[in-house]
Amino acid sequence: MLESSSGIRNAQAIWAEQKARLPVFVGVLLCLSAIYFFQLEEDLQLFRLFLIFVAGFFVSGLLDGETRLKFIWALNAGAMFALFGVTAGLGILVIGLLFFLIVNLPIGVWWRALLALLSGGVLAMGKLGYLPFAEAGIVSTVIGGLFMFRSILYLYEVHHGWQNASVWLKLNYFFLLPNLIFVIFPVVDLKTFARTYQPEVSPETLEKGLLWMMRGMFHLLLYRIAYYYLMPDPAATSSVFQVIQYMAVSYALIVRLSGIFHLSTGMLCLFGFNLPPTFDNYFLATGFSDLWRRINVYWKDFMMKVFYFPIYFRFTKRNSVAVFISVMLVFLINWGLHQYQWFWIKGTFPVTIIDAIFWLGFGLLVAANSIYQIKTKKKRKKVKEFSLRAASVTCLQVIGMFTFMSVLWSFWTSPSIATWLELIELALPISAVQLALIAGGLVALYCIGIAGSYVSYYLDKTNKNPDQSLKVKAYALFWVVAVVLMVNPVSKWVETSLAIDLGPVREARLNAADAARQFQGYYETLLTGKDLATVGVAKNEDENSREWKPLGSFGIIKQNENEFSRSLLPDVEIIFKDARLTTNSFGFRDREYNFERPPNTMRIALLGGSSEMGAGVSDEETFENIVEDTLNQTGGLANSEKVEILNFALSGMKMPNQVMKAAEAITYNPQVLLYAIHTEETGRGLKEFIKIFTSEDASLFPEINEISRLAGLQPEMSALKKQSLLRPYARELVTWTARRIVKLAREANVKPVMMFTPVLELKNAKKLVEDEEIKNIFRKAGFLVVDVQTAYDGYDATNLRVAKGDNHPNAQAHRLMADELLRQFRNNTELIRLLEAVE
Amino acid sequence: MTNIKEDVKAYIIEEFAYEADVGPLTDSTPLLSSGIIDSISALQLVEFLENKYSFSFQAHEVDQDNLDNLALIEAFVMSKVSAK
Repeated sequence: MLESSSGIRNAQAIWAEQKARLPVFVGVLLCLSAIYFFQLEEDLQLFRLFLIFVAGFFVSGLLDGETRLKFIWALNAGAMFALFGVTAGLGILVIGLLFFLIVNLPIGVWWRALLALLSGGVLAMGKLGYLPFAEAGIVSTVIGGLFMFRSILYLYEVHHGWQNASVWLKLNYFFLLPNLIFVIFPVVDLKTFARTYQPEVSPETLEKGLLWMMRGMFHLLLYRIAYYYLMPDPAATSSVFQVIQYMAVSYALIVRLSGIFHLSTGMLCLFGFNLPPTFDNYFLATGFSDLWRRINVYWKDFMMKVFYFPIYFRFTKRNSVAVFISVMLVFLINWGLHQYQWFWIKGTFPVTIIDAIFWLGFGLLVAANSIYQIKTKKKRKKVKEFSLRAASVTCLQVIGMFTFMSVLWSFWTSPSIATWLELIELALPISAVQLALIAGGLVALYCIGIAGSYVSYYLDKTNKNPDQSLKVKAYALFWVVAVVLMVNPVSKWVETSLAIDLGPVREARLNAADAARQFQGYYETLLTGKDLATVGVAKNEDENSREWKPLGSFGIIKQNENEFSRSLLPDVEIIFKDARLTTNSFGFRDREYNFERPPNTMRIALLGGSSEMGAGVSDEETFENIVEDTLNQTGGLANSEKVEILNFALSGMKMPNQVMKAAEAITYNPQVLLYAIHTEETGRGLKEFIKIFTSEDASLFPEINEISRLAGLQPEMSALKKQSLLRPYARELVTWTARRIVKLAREANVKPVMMFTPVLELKNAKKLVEDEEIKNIFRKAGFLVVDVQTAYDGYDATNLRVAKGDNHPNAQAHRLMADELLRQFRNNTELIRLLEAVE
Repeated sequence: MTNIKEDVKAYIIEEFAYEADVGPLTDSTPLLSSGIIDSISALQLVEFLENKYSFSFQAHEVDQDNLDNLALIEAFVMSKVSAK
């Protein structure tokens, strides 16, 4: 007997099994290190969950099968408190048990379903914020994740007579540890779950679990790299190749889902649940039915079991019509269930035409494919010898399927049909050379495919396919190297000697497109309701765990005399990005000043965007207030005893807006106009410049209209197309901005100073060249250029932002900016001369 | 009725390209749980069994419990035929 009556095994049995588990345990510790160093799914608390898992895995090896089930469930219950705190943890536990009781009540299945539905309705109220509990949102999200699909499967199986499991196994079926943080979770089949549980976990299952975890983490890392480095910004897209890249990467980003599913099922395998694979090389699908088979296998099985078979078997004549209707109904349900899932995650039930087209279109293709296979009685063939013809057919099918799915996926993930069509428009017209290059690329892919087919055939034939153990070793080697690279002295050495920033690999960061949008004042456009079409923003918002309300939603931005002139409302106080933001009686985010400049005072008008406005920091923490206070405490500036820095900065202000703002600022009689410019200011400003072309206020900008005409802009063109055409004229647009402000300043005897400010994102060589070009343009136009970009040097950028996923400078960054600006005021001779010359 | 397993085995080898080099198709070789037959292809097998042995499947019977290996298939077919 291996087990004692307490469920704990005797020492000899424990030692024998622990010895066998030791390599797996080491592998699990390697996974823990990788999750830590790469901050994988940090927002979802993966590291904390994995710590609990590691402890649980160790202890579970000491227990027999039935006791292990009790332990795993207790571990899960404990994790609820560790992850979500006492109140939410208790809520999840109690409500979870309540749901468990409901689906197990000794009453008819339909009554149980009705009760579950009613209880779900109450929980939904919590999700929508109608319940008077602060934690109702998180509780309902987690409970939704645990029960939204498995309760359906459970009741289905019970309805058909299934009851073959202990209460602990049933409890474990609903309370799956990784499901606590991954709300989108594989729909584990009840019977499979019960059938595959191993009281004595086999070494193969342990090894498989480890392999899946490492593979899952690898997929999560691939996702991060693809998202950051490969996803092009649609707004900066100007060729068919970038459009193709955008579509392919959109589809490839599904690798994150695969990562989560592999990691989750791998963890469950280590607890003894020997589950089947969740994905099956979906990028290699050769047709629509094949893709449906391979992508999210658990979901396909769930849909087949609970919906497809019951619908299909209702037909007395099971012919093509039956298949067609069944498939279409299943995909209609599929759409509904995705919205249902969306509700439990985000609290909304969006019904969009894009979803309708995607799901019903996909259904139509799968139905057509299935009918074709039935009609042609197509059989699977396995070729004994390598055949170029067969390999070619497969290869072309895979390329075709991947291409089609990339297009379909880019459509599905677009915020609107119009936006997607704009993207397509960017690719047009395609020149003969481009067409030839695309054809060349496809031929290259085909050749790679054929070579891959041959390698696969050869490995099959010679029985040299890597086995599970070899795969585990390969992944382990990868993760050991990766972790070592991330350890501080090593990563510093790599970054310094190779001049690369490992930051975007080490942690999840917004890619250039999403980061730019953050500063573009996307939210602020809510003011006018115009120009909301920005690909990917919705996805970015979804990933922002902080869910801060946009400035525009506070209703404190007003439009002035024309479309391009905006201000904050006077005398308002709000909490914006968790910080107090107040405006003075003139409507700028600053202290109270007299309209007339006091005597013996140096008045500086600051122009800028959200960073200068101080998005995410409190009123007194903005760098301009710190500089003003410091200068006033240390005797003023140049010949003036007192200093006033009037902050005209506002979120979402671009170059055309700054020209308007400069005119407004000058009426306050400053001696200096300090214009803060960031890297990529031009790119960010393009959206505003293209508005001028079709604006009612276009007459204010005759030069911009001329540039737009030269660029070939047409009013009916999409915004993305206009941006693409105007981008080559960026230099002219910057020059116009600089000259216009200098002209305004000189007319009012104000000294124009351009301050090139630091940003918290990585800069590549191209950006550095662009930065120099902007500085030169401003210099030539008559600005004194003050470069404060070194303000953050020597600091970790991740400690200087207001939040993960929001790269606005935090209070510390503002202090550093203030220090640097003060240094400039004291040491920059050109600046000192300029200040001494003011009247 | 005595050759259920042989009939089904022949059908699976023919329709699902089961190859001996994967391992012999024995009475206990897993079919659904191993992925040799997936839930979509299972309908082909269902149609074959219904036509061959003149009985009808219920939707919930298209399941690993009944179709995961030759022995289970035979037992299921026998039970369905004898219940007629």
